[in-house]
Amino acid sequence: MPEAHDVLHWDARPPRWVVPAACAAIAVGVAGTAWGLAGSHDKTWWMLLVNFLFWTGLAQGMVVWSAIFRAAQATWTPAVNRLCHAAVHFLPVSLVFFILLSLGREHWLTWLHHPVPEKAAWLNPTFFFRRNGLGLALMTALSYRYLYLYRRGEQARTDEEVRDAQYRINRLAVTLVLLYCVVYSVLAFDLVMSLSPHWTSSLFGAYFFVTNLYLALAAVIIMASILRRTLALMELLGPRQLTDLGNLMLGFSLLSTGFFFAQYLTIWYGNLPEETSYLIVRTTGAWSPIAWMVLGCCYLGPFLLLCLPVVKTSPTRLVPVAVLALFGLAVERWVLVVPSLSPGRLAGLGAPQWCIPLGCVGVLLLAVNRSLSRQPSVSSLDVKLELSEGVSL
Amino acid sequence: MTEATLYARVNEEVLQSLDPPTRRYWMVIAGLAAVFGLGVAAYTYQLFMGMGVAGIGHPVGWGVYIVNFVFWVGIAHSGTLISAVLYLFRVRWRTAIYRAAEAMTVFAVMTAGLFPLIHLGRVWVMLWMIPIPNARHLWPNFKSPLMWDVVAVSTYFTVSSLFFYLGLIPDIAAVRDRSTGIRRTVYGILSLGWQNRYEQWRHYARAYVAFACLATPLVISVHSVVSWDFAMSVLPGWHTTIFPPYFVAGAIHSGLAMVITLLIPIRKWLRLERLVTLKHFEGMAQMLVFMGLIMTYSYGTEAFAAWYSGNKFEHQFSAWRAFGPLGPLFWGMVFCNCVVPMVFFFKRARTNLTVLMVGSLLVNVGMYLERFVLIITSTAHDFLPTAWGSYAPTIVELTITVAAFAWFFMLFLLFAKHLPAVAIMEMKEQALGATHGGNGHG
Amino acid sequence: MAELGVVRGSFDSMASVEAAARALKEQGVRSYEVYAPVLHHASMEEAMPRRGSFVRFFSTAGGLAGVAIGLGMCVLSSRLYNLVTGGKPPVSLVPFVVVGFECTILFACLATAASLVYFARLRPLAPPPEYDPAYSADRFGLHVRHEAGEGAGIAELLVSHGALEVVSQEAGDA
Repeated sequence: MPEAHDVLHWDARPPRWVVPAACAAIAVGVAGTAWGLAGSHDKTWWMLLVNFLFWTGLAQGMVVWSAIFRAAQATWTPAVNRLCHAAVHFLPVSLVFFILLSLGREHWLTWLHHPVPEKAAWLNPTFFFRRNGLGLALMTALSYRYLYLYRRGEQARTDEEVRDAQYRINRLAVTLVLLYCVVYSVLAFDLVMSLSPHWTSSLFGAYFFVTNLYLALAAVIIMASILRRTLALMELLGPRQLTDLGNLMLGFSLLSTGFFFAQYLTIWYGNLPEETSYLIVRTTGAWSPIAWMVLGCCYLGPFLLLCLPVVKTSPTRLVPVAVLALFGLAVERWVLVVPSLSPGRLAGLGAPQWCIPLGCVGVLLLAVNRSLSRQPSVSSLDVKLELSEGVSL
Repeated sequence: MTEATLYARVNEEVLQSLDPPTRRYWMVIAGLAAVFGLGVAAYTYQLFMGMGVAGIGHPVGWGVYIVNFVFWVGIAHSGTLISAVLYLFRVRWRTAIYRAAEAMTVFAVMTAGLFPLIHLGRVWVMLWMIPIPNARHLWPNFKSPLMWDVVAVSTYFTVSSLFFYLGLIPDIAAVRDRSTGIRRTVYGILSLGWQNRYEQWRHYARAYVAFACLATPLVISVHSVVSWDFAMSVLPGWHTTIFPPYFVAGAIHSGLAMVITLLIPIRKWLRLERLVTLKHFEGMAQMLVFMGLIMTYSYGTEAFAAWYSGNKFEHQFSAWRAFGPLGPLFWGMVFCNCVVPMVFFFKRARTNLTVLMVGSLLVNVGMYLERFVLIITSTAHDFLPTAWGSYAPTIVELTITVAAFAWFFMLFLLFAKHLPAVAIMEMKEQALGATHGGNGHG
Repeated sequence: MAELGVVRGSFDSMASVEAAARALKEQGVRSYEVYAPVLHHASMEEAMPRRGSFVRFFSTAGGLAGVAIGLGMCVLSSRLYNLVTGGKPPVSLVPFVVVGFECTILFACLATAASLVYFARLRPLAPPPEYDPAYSADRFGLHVRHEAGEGAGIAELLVSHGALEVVSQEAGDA
């Protein structure tokens, strides 16, 4: 392992094209979205929701991964942690995204037009947007606080101060993880499950936050593989760490598959109309090939590929698997949301809708670039983990 | 301290625990065997008198026997969790305790496996559940969750026993090399002629990793299958998608608690304090907090989903379960499984053996209550008010239940005095890792 | 090939036995065996004449056979009687996945265990006389088989790498 000072004070200069390219992508994204929203059809709104879920989940999931590594006192992840932190600046943008969605609620919130009286206590617009907005804002604020504690801890001079900083970070990490599970369960119930207001699946919340972590992990692997040379992290992101990341991804692909199967099997076996309606729309007719694609790209494909040890040691083999999973999960988010709104036919593949992910990539690129170019590429606190004691009150 | 002295010390400390047992030990074993004998008598009585002597009937067809089955399968889970999952995660505190946890797994599955047979009534037809070609071309119905159970639990028993034995082989060889006479012969046979040769190690290491990788998804699947025994029905309180992960978490929760409950007295009795330290208990207590949080999430989500569904059967059932005659059991389970583990957020609680013992016992009680509440209430209070009923275990069922605990503890005590309860080879390996910078035989 | 002799060295640390084995390999000695109470096998492999293991191959093969057996058993047995039970079609793959999965693990584990027994030559017999019981406690051993006349050089090599005790046995001595 390199000495801490080798990697801490590295002066990262991003390639010049990053900022202009990101700005161009954002401009195209905004213009395309505006064009789509101005049209008569609602599908741009639907894809806004899909993209909101995907990209917010990705960014928040990355920060949460860092918190998970903290909470578990993992010693192999200083470089990974740092990359995870870089996504935090996307979160304020996703709040704007959410406000936009709440303004256009008429276009996607199905139960506004067909209210469900027995669920009115939960499914009423005021409470709905307040609780979700509050949850997202809280997660964003805590994520920023988490990074703030890091920055403050890095300034610490004495061992005593470092120890204190570590303790505070560890405690917040645990809080962040717990809150993430709750907030993202509620988001899943509200922004996805409630679109088919008669459908319930108690596992759906957990499925959603687990797949979110899977998604974020795939993104971290891609980022780590691309940036490890630029950020001089070859040692801290060597074959061993890549294997560990690959194994984690293997675990999460298995967990996601398991959670999917647990829901599918229970619903299939129970064969109750209010439950099966959700599956029938997605597994028959126009959406059926897409559902198979999700099965292959998001669940089984990455799982089987990651079972091969050779895939995990080299970035050139690991990245394609991560890309496959990322693609699979994007399609999966699409299948979770849009068939509730357009049961009979595929929707959301027009040119304006493609501009939305482009804009999101631009924002993410800017966010990551800003973070990586201003902060050291590895936090001194993650290297000095021996001064960290785990959480106890 | 040199490497060799370190090894010698580990060897000595573990092997001293196998010194010939005292008379008191045999008296305890005899006591447990007697209680087990009572259970056998009760079962024989049931066999001759018929299932009427048990409290199950209409509408509650699954009583304490199935509660025991689920409870013991649950206990069986943390062993494989500790030995396989924590091994793959390279958690250091696993080494000193995994052997005891694995033994517990094997004995708990052996206990659990008895209950479907006891519950079966006409036990001799159990052969019908085994998929073997037969004269009448009758095959089991593989679409039935009960058949999945047969496949899953027998797979789990086979795999966890093999994994347990695999880990034991080098250690039995170590015992063989220190013993004489008939003991030497017996341990010699059990160690399969193990010679600590590189030619053996290189295959052994691969096999061990393969087992760990295979056991991890297995441990998750088995309790999922058990949960599907319930979730595949359409009863309120049973038919819910969260059951598999919730059962797995519950299983690990109870299993960890049982490991703590067993290890605290065992380490004192076998004088293993220097190998099994407070740090190990701390690690387990932290996991208990984690599992307690998952349990809380599951209970919360289950209640929320029932409320959110807007289904009046779900509503009335949830209300009855929490506030009906069995309400105290429900709240007892919430208290023991969700509130009690939270004391282990405090370092002082995690490092205090009395608190650990009381906490783990309460979690065990809580998990037993959970299975009871879960299994009994749904059938007692389903869709038709005319079919509502109640259930209380009879003396026969209670005797068999208590006997199962005696059987489990008897097996565990026999194990602890006759096989190394702490993994000698891996403790040495950890010592080697500390001087050599290694990380296990991966 | 000429008659073989054996040199048996006994060591007290992993590092020294590994270094000695490495030196033997560099000298082109082909036939030697390490005995160790624990094995840090990843680094030891480079010092040994043979490496790797087929066990994993058997695990995979067992797993593949298991999934085929599990699913095959379900599909074929339910086709024997094409009866609709519980409102489910006779051949329903969704529930069969559960059985298939369990059988995958079961057969993979059985194959792993069987291949280990085969490759590691596990037999319920007492170890051969050259095995020193201390190898399961705190001693490492390095047994080198050599051609007649090479024994002295090998013994010297072992001693120079920290062997505590070296026993040479020329062919025909026993």
